[in-house]
Amino acid sequence: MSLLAAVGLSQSFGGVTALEDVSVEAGPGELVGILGPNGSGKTTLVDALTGMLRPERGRIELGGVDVTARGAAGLARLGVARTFQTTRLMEPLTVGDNVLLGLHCAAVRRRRSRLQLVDAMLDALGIADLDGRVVRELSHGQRRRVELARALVGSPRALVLDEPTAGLFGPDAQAVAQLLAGVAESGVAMFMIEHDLGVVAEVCTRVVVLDRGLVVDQGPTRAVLAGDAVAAISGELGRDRFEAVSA
Amino acid sequence: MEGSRPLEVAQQLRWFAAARLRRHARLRRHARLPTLVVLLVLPLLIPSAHVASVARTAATYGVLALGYAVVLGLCGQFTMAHAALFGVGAYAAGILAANLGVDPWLTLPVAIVLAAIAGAVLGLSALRVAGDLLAIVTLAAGQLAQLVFVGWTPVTGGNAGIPDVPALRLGGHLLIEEHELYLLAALVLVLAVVCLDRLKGSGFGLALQSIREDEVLAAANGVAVGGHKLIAFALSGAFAGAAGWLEATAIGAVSPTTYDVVLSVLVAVMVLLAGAGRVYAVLAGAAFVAVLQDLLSSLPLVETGAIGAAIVAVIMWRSGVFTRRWRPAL
Ligand SMILES: Nc1ncnc2c1ncn2[C@@H]1O[C@H](COP(=O)(O)OP(=O)(O)OP(=O)(O)O)[C@@H](O)[C@H]1O
Ligand SMILES: [Mg+2]
Repeated sequence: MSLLAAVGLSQSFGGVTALEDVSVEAGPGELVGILGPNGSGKTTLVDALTGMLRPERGRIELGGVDVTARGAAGLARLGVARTFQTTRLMEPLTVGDNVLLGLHCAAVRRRRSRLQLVDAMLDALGIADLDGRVVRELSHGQRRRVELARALVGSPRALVLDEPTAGLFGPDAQAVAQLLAGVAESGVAMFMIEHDLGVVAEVCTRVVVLDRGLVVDQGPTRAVLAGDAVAAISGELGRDRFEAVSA
Repeated sequence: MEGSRPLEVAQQLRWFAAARLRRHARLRRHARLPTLVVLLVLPLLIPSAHVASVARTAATYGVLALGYAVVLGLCGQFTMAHAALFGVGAYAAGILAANLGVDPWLTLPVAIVLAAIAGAVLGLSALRVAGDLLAIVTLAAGQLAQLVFVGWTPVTGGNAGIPDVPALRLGGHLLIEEHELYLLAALVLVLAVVCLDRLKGSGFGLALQSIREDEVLAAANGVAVGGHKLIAFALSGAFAGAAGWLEATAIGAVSPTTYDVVLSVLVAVMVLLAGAGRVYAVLAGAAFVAVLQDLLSSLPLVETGAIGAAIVAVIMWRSGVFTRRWRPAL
């Protein structure tokens, strides 16, 4: 049973086809990896799944209900959280306040309980020491974790992550991936754009491969990773990742 | 504390060294309000009606500027019609008390509500345009309000305004002595400061700040961006309405020229001087403008020049000349 799904999405920008008849879904407990070369439409798919982009054709369903017209804030209120390819945070505010924003629609109303949740989330992500720091001063890897804390703290039903491990290296990327796998296992439906095939193999339950806006392969992780589609694009995966990170 | 599944999972994993460092102390904040109260008492000790009158203007501007800080400082909306909302409050008080014989005290809630509604109507423009364009659209809206103040003669008294707003009455005593009027304005100011401090620390205030920083991020966290903007405008209108009531009942008259574009610019200056999100610095900005206005009032040419310079300063701020240091930040 799918919790968050895109059905028959098509979207073009000018002459560029970003998505063409794309259907993907994630059920509770599933971590769906999205693979594809640069410009293949991954971010466009994430934007559509989270209501940031109203697709030209197709629909978004949450728990079987058509939510295409709800918009980003509407979907967030229904329990769909996301992170961004380039971290988006409130620069002049503290880490604690940034994470607190993730509780904007949470049922927890008491300020003290909210602060406790934030504290505990930061603690769990190993960034408790950053609490009072202003985001502007943080390193790239720290910002990634703050953004993740912001997305996780509200206990979302579905989570859509645009390259959560980009810019994290070695054990940090592994650790984040493990955390996300654990969160998914606890019953959250999750999509995650990921370039690192090792990480995908380790944590994703299913994989969707996009190329030039088309779904070229989709299925259980092991089968897809061994398939021709991945072999065809693997040379291009995350090619300019380093540039994207340092920019 | 209610549970959070991602949290539980994360806690179980605990892969990073989890140092339980305590949240930064928020002590600094608690010293500010008492300091303000002490400062506010000072003008009461000076036996000069003139000083008290300037201090009252400063306090009134303070309330006005705090309202502007909600919409510009917290929500990041650059509006230029704040004098018009101030005027709505003043006219509401003046018209009700002078023309309809309503007790001046009872006109306070009406002034607040009407100015809040006017603020929300003004805020509709922020749903369509942003940035400098919003400043221009609201500037035009302020001029429109000015046309109404001047042109709707049967109600507003036209160019002459309302010359005979009855004074506030406490028991049998008329509040007309400058020190008493100042005390009232100072009390309203303290209330406004407390309101704004609370607002800033609330989830709603955080949502407004998220809109200022990044509307996409705000929406991704479920913040209803348009609705929050309207409420921010309405709140800033409410502050301006209270300020307008103070002004009308203290001076005993309402005159349209008080509520024109020049004052809108001055309010922006008060707030930008301070750094838009800083509650207490905004009050210093308001006092600075009130004192300067008083000092220059005998030199009309210099006053006009100073206002011109203020307008240039605001434009320079917008164009980023001061951005590094003067960005609205908390
Ligand atoms: N707002 C937009 N306006 C015009 N073109 C766009 C827009 N957003 C995306 N595109 C184009 O649509 C295509 C898909 O872009 P998208 O960002 O979804 O790719 P991606 O798979 O996320 O790439 P990357 O790996 O570089 O992040 C690209 O050709 C891109 O240039
Ligand atoms: Mg992308």
